[in-house]
Amino acid sequence: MAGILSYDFVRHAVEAAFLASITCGFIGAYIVARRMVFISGGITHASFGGIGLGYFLGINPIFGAAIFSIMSAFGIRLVSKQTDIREDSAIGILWSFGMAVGIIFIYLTPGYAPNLMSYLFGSILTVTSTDLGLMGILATVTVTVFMLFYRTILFISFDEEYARSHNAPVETFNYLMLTLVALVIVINIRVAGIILVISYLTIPQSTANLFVNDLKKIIILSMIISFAGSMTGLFLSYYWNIPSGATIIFVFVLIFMIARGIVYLRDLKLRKISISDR
Amino acid sequence: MNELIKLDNVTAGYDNGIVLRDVSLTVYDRDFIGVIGPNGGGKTTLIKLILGLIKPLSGTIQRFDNQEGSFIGYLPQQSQIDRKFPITVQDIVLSGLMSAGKGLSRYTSKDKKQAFDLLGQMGIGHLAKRTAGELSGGQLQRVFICRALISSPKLLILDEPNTFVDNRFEHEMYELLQQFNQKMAIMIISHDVGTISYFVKTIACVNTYLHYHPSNIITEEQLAGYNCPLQIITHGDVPHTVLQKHDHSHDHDHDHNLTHPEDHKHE
Repeated sequence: MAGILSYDFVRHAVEAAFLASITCGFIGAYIVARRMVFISGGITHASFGGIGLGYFLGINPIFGAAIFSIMSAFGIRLVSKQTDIREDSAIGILWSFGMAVGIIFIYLTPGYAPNLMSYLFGSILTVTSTDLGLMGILATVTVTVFMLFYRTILFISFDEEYARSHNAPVETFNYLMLTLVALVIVINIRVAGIILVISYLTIPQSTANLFVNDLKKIIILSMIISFAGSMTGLFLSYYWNIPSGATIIFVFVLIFMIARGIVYLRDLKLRKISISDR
Repeated sequence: MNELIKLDNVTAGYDNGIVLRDVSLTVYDRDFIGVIGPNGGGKTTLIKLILGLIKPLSGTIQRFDNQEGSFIGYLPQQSQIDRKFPITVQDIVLSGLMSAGKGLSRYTSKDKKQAFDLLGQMGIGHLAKRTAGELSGGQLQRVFICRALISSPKLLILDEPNTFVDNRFEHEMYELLQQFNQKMAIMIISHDVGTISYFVKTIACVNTYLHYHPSNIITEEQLAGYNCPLQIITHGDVPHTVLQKHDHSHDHDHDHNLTHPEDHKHE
């Protein structure tokens, strides 16, 4: 294992997994707690439109994706609030619209679209130092926002109307968090791909939620699970020569299932004890 | 007596129509108002106006708010809460101290002690580190009462507090409310009109219009005069009232209110 760390691309992959675990630990816990998984899926796929636009205009597709993801996140919120279109319908519309726009732009772009597959399925092994720089900045911003406003975020998420009755800046925070969600998704598309990035935001958090029930603890535990799972997946993909992104997700789900089994056995044991007590 | 909240000719509603019309109500220090009325009559809208969650279409609302921290403590209906949300009981109570300026400052050990003391008073101090999902409906209700009280509000508003509460705690809760009433005004919305009329000092009947009754005993004749869909039933010493199906059109035709009063009388 130590030998493979001497390769640059492997070190980059480890650093990327570390930074992804941090940003997804915070934002994933927020998404799972607020039941925003579906809207996050919508934002993720809508950002493909921006990737297509990036190819078409010849700019870094990640910047196009960032614009599309923030606009679709705000769009979903505004449409479901201001009109009689329901939120899940709005998500479905923008989800597929973004994908369609992306396909059209890529088709219109002359020549071959390099790295297209890496945006769809992720490619942790080809992460560049520019990507790592962006991931580092976003991780710093995310950590700062949560350190400063943890309780405000927690209280607004738990009971929005109550927060409003206390004159808390609910809308400002909702849009700030939505922006962070969109950016974290886009940045981690390089690691896990459009199709798989939602796994980083939900599986480690759901696994953590099996053992702990406090947002702060879910954040920390999901980071650990996320990094450990990424390392295991990375190693296995190297060892068996299979795609890294898919292997990492496979490991995430495996960890989740083992954890669920442990919880089941523990509850069974507790129930037996409480029965024999009587 | 100090005025806390003053609504003057307030009309309010949503996209699909007017819910409250020409409502005037003044809440004074140490009032104990029972807010009654049928579903859809505008009780919750009235509370939202007072909390500042919605703006009136016309009329004015004055709040005589001169204290730091929250001036109103609020106990929402539990149905709007996600009970699986990962938050500890202690944090729920501390969220009652949230205010516009509190975003950056941390909660002090004094705040935490106060939260713990309140939970202790409610008999659930041992649950402080548990999470919302692990609690029963009645326990969670006490947690929310603690959240409403932690800012030492001048006015405590409870929206249907007895929905999830077991009978034993219900009685206890009303006794606690009477203690709190020594220090603050209370407004309580309830379907269980009978029980609250025993504890409250005054009654506001909300059914598009608001009729304020400056006592906790209402006679049938008065109700008819208020055009309020209620009927008085008496069990022993405790006056009880129940809702009666009622057309609250503003034609001042009260006759159908009293068509079958016997149907609702218990012996």
